[in-house]
Amino acid sequence: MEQIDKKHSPGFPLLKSVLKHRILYAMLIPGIVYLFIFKYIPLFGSVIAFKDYNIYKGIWASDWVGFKYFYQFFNYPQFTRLLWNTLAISFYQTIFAFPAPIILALLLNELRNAAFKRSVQTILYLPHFLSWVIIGGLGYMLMSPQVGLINQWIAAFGFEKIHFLQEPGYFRSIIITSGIWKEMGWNAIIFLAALAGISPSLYEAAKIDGAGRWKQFLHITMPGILPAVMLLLLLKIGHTLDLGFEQIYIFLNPITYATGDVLDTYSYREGIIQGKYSMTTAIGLFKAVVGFLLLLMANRASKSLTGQGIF
Amino acid sequence: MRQTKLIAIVCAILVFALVASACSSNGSNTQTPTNAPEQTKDNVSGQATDAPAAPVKIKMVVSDHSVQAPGADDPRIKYLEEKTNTDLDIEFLAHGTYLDQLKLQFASGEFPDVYQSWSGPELDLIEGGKILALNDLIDQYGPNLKANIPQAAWDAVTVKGEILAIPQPALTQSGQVMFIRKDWLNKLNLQVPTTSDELLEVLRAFRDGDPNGNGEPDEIPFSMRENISWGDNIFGMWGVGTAWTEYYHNDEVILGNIHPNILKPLEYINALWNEKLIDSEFLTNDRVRWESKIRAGFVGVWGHAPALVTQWNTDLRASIADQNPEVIVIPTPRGTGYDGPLGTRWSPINKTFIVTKDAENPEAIIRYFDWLMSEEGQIFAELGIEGDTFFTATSDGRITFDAKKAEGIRWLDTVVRVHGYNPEMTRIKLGDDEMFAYLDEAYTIANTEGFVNEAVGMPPIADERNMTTMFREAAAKVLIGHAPLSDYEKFMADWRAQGGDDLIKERTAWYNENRK
Repeated sequence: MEQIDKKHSPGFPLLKSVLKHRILYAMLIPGIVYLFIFKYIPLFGSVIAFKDYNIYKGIWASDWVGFKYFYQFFNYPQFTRLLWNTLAISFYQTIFAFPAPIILALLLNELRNAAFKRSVQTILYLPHFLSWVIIGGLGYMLMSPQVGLINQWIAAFGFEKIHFLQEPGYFRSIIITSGIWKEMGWNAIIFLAALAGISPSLYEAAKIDGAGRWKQFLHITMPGILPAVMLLLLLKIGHTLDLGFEQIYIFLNPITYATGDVLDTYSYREGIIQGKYSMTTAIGLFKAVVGFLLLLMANRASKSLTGQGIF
Repeated sequence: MRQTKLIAIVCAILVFALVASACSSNGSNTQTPTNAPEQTKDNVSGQATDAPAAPVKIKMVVSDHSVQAPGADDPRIKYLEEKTNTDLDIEFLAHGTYLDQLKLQFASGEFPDVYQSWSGPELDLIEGGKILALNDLIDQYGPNLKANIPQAAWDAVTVKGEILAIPQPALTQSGQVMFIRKDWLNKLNLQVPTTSDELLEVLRAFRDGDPNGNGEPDEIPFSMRENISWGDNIFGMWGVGTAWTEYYHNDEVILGNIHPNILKPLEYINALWNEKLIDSEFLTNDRVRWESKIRAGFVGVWGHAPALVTQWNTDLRASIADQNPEVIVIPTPRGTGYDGPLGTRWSPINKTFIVTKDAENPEAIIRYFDWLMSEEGQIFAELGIEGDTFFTATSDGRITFDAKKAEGIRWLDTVVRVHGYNPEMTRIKLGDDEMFAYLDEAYTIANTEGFVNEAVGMPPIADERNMTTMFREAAAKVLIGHAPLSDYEKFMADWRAQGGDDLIKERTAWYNENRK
């Protein structure tokens, strides 16, 4: 099509094509306007990371302070711990929480009874609609040494009750497990969609060639969802430093700061609550830059290893 | 199915619209009390006669405290004007954006005669010469104010010896008191503890004596809440506060968190932990969990706001009626080896009224506030006008308050009132002498104990150098035995080294300049 256009109008091929598909381009406008207003204009607000932002003076009238807030942030004695906790939890999420929905989708895909499959799927994605506050309450009801179900079992077997929520050693496991329980079913939907997109003719051909379920899985299903997996993995890596504030905040207490205090919770506690907006913006900017660099590296690695990338 | 969904959505939108319009009407409400025709009339008469008897015009800006503001011809405003010989022009601004709107007015050069705030005036207004010092005026025209406002409240609005506002004293100077289950004490034949050691004995008895009578060792002798909060009375046995409490100690202004006296209470709570006398979940208790443990009758001692003693008694009588619960407030026991003031920090003021230099007749303004502080004025501010909202029985002179009309005069209490705790008025309003006895006892204790918090009246701390995080973590570790007490001393030194010293220098410099 493009080539035909080129032949007929060597002058302005792009303009011609835009005119020709003007309805499609018109439909693009709301999307672009949305991105511009809600994603690009707020970017300018990031300058307050370099200013002594005063809400009464406004963004432009506040004084420039250069990298003051970055220095302050990097000089926080526990800065390395914040970064380490963030990276560690993110790493565990990638290792344990990321594959969970893929495995679930693959298992569901092998189910042949449609009614059973649907009901299982529905039950598994219901927790997605619960807020973290409620899940925090459920966690308490399970793990509290006074009323918790798990601790009642432990006591019934004659062991000492465990303060799960007051022990730094359990914190990351609780975060990862609750995260998997809440989001696994929901995240599986996208992989189920990818699986549904694989042409049934491939399976039929494989069957005729004598491939069993395992071989079909290995040579058709896996390659079929790999692009979706790589795409989501790259996006996850781009968000390495964004762990989901609520989840961690709900379970965090001063004793578990040691393993659970992350960039987001610190910036909430020391920044937002105390009205230090420049400081929180500096932290946010730092996170964005690190996330972008990680994304670039992961994208390159992915391209050279699998040939898949997002740009 | 689809229809009900639709109805639900429509309802949601309606509710939202209602709330939004209510909010906006609140905002646009601001001019209502200004009574234009009356104002001009009085103005004319004022100019014509110019006699001292003519009512004095006072322009006042206040927050509506999110309470329905009075209408322009509200009889209480008329009454107030008559009694104080003034012509009041009170502008009620929406509470949520009050200080911002006020700042905008000031920025455009509009200064009322009086404006309301919750602290002394801001530094730039003082330095800009906009604020009138009231020392002499109060001496001359404010005998009731002098008699009824405690020194701590004056101190909170005094800078360099100049009184810059008329403070409404807080109902209670201390915000937290110690609650105890009196019925548990009675059941186990125990006295109210007066020292930290006696408290320890009481808590041990609560743990072992099965005071809730269910045969299970499920009592929680003492409980507090997440982030080491609502335990201030334990720290208060040695006179330290942990949240934004500043002390002038050894020629420095320091936060209570690094005051040497804090080591004792930390050690004490750690002992409670080791003996299982404190709620094992005190680091994770949120309000709901904490309250439900108390309501379920597991907790023996806890700290809370004094005004809530009636609430606790009502709640517990409903939830564990079979135990015949009785909750009282007790004075903070004295910590061993400590002889300073006990309890929790003072927050001595509730709201303030600041007089600007634009006021033409400041004497009249002081007289206005002085009348509100008189006996007659106090009755008016709490109960309204006789025959309208309260009635005096002709036979025995007993006053009854019409609680149904209370909502209509709430603005008097929140916006106009300048006096603090008035037992008699509180009793009449409460209408329940038994509950009033609990409340009066709680208020009396909260008004007699406690200590000065130097932070009151100082500019807020702009950068606390990670104190919140570092304190909570260091203290929590010591409290549950994850670290020895020496680690806390290390935190005190570390915090100072990583920037805390600069904060101390800033605060001390301000103190030396303005308070010494």
